[in-house]
Amino acid sequence: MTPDDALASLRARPRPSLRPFFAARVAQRLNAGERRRTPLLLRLYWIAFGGFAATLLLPTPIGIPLAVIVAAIAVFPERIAAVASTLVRE
Amino acid sequence: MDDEALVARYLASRDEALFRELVERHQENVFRLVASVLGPFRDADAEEATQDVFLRIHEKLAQFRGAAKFGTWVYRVAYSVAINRSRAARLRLPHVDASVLRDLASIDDPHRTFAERERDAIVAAAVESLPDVYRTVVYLHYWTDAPLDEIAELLSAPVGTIKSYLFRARERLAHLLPEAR
Repeated sequence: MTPDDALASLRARPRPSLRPFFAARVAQRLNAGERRRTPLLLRLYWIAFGGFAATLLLPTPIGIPLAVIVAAIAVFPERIAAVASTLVRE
Repeated sequence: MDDEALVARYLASRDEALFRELVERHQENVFRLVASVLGPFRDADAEEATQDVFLRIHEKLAQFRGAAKFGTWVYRVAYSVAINRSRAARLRLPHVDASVLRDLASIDDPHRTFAERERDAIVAAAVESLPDVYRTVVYLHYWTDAPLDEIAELLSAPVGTIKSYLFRARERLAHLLPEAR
């Protein structure tokens, strides 16, 4: 048996194919992504809120980690949401 | 209208129909490339990964300077997205489950003998152990039946290089598969 004979089993596998309306689904995800983007004003609000929470909580043991988490969510809401959804899916 | 003109018109107008036209022109090739990088054991992810490729392209579209053909640029992005996904999948699950490999042949033909299924599982495991680029070329050629010139276009490499990748992949497989020696 040559490697070519061995690889013949791959030809027997069903070939991958895209489902119909693929481009429409990509457009849908693009629009969803744009809609999800947090407005600048809301981001500024969360940054200010994060800063306020940090000053209040700083003397407590959970103050710094909590302030870091709030600031991360405030600055990168989409990225944090994407990471969280990946973790949940897995 | 060629791809480059379509990109310029899309960037000027942001008309979604123009971007959809670009997606429709390249979706089959990008999907074939992504599916081949992921392989037949992880191809359930291929469509989502292909969508990610086009989202990435949309993000980076303004950076496309036209130094290379648009298709070449798209396939480079696709290969990089797919390789990252494939490596992440392999890190989480370094070996394809043996039962998945064994079931491969029986999906299409329940009358295949146990020995044939075992042989196919060994072949599948050997192909999975090849380096990324050899494995991708093998899947493109043997699984998706892509001709050499098309593989060369997808991987932005000369046909001679693709032939040499295939030759080296077969050589490695000959060492990995005891019966093939």
